[in-house]
Amino acid sequence: MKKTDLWSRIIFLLIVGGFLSVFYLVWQSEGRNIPNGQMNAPGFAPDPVLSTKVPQYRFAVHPLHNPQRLFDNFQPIVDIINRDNHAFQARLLAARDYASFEKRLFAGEFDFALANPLQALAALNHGYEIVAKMGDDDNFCGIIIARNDSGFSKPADLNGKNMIFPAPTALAATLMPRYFMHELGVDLASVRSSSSGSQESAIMNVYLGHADAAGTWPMPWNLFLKERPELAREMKVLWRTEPLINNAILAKKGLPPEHIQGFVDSLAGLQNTADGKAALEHISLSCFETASDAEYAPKVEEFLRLYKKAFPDEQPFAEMQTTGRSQP
Amino acid sequence: MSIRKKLFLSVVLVYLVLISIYVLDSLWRQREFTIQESRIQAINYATLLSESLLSWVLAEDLMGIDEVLQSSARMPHIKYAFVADSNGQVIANTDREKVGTFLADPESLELLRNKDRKTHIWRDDPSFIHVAAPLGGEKHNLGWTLVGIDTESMAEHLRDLRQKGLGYTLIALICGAVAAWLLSRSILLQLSHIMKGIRRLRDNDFSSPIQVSSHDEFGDLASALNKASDFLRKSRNQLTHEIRERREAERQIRQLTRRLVDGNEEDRKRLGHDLHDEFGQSLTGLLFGLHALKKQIKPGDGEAVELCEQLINASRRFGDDIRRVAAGQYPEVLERLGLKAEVSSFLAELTARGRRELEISHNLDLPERRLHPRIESTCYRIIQEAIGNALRHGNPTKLYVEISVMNEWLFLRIADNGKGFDADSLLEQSRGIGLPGMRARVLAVDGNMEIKSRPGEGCVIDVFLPIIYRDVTQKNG
Repeated sequence: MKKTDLWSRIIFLLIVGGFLSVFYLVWQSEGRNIPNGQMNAPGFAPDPVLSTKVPQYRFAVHPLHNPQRLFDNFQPIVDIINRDNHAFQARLLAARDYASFEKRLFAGEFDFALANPLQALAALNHGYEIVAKMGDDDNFCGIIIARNDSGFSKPADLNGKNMIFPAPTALAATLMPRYFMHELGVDLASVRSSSSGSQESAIMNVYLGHADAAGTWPMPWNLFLKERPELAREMKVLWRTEPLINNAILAKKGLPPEHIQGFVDSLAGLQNTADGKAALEHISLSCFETASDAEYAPKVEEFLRLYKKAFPDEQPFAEMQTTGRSQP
Repeated sequence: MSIRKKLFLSVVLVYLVLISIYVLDSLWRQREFTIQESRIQAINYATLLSESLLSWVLAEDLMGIDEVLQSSARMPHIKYAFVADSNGQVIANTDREKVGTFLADPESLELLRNKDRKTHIWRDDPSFIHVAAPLGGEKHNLGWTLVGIDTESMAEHLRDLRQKGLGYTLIALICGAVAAWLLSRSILLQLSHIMKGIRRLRDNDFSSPIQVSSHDEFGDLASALNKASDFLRKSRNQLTHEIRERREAERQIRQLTRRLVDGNEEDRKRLGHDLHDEFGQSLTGLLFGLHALKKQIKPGDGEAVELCEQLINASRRFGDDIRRVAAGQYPEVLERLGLKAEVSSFLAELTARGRRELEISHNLDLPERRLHPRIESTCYRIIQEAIGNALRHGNPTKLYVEISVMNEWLFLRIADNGKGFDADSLLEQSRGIGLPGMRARVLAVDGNMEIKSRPGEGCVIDVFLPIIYRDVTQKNG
């Protein structure tokens, strides 16, 4: 065989071999990750494999915010309660709307609950007792906000204006401002009222000029000041209502007293630890306080009496049970 | 291997190597990217699902969780999705039969115990991507959302990539082969034109220039070759003309030389005859006179007798010299008996007269038929001259003379072991008339002569003469 023939055969074989190698490598390149159809599926058993030795308590928070924000605000507090108490574990629950929260509350499904004053008052007849409350009662009031350029100087200026509230039955954000305006002589029949569905929406409607004023309460307004300062600068608080009493912590009757005490102690001592203080700051609250039915219920009952007197045709409590998200 | 084959195979090989590297690298990157992307998508999906389930989990709305999971199960490639609380109890599952059961396998239990609550791939499985996303974020232990996604789409994508990669490799190879073929054809077509032109030049065909019209290196080469061809053609014409003129001149020189040699031979012949006839007759008369004179001297006059004897002897020697000189000028034996007899006679006489230490040998193998007188005469004169030169200048102890027929030539060799000489310089200097005369004689008959001699190494003279036979009617040249 000639040398040139040999070389040409070698090069030809190199080309063929090269292509076959490429083909093989390309084929194999996929093979490492080709599914073989067999799944390494998780296994299940009818009985728990991990033992849980302590009881778990449901701690429900009335729908102050949407569940995600509520989780962000209150889960740190629940984590601290669980860290402090080894005899039980608390689990945060949220309701997607007021009706479901109240339904489950009155059905006794929750072990602990954070309820607004009206709900707390009603829950006393459904197997709950008031064991604590949020502090800063001064902040549990209604506020009326408007744009800086609104020109309102006295409550009567709201006559004939558009007002927006988070929900018709919101205690601090709607009922208390309405009562305040009524007391100061505003003709509420001339005020065109509407509901935004949430505190934040009511505030934004005023900023955008869709409403002349809005009723809300300090906690969401302070949050708005913190999160949207550039927008908050365009608005101002016109008036602040008289404060009532802040949201109550309910405990289901029949729970071990030491567990209730441990739960209350953890809440009442939040301001004493760094992470507890941070959790409180997150919800713009200085502390939780111990409370009881006897000292809490009369204040709420007094407001209800005054409100019914001012608006005899309205039944806010009954309506609240059937409407959407609960608002303070 | 031809250039075309080399070029073709090289280009195809280079294409194959380059495209292979590119395709393999691309496939590898694509595969890694696809795997990574699939994992990221799975993780994002599980995270999103976990976040969207949070509100339902917080509300303990098991139906809501179930609805979300069932809707997620309708998405392609989702093999399972379920939510387990922090105790491992399944609170919702796309496979509703498993709701209420507890996670039991080691990997699941490890997941429940793990305090690193990041969304991650929690099971090793080449066929599926199992993602665990914490419920309630990384800080709070509410449970896990667990999703299994098959990698069929990824595999399908990789299969598609593989097929395309192989297709591109093939297309690249074909394109490379076509390009190489076209390129080699383009190059070699021009090269072929150039080669044809060079072959025409080799065959002395200057009739048409090389036909390459491209403006690349081949065009430059063809142009240069055409110029060289044109120059060569002109040079060749000029050379042909000069050769013709030179040949004519040589022919004239040979003719002239031949006439000179012939004339010289005639003169020598005439001189020989004259010496033999005129001086011979006179010397014979002189000898008769001297003998008569000797008879007339009185018997007692010894001095006169002795003087007369001396004169007779001197006359005889003089006669011998005259005959010898006459024979040298005109070899009568040559004319009468031919070259072989003459050379034999010459050598015999040389042996007889020569020194004792000189050994003469010869090999005379001539044709039967008599050669042309000019050839015989030339041959004889060369032998005569060469031996004369050797004896005069070389002081040899051996002499060798050969005459034979070699092919179509009469070969003549005169060799001696004398002192030798530098033949080249001697011929260049044209010193004396011996060697140039011999050369002139050889040229006059269109022969060839070669002198091989170096100082101290003797001398060999080889002569080739054309074999021309004597006409039957021809008696003398």
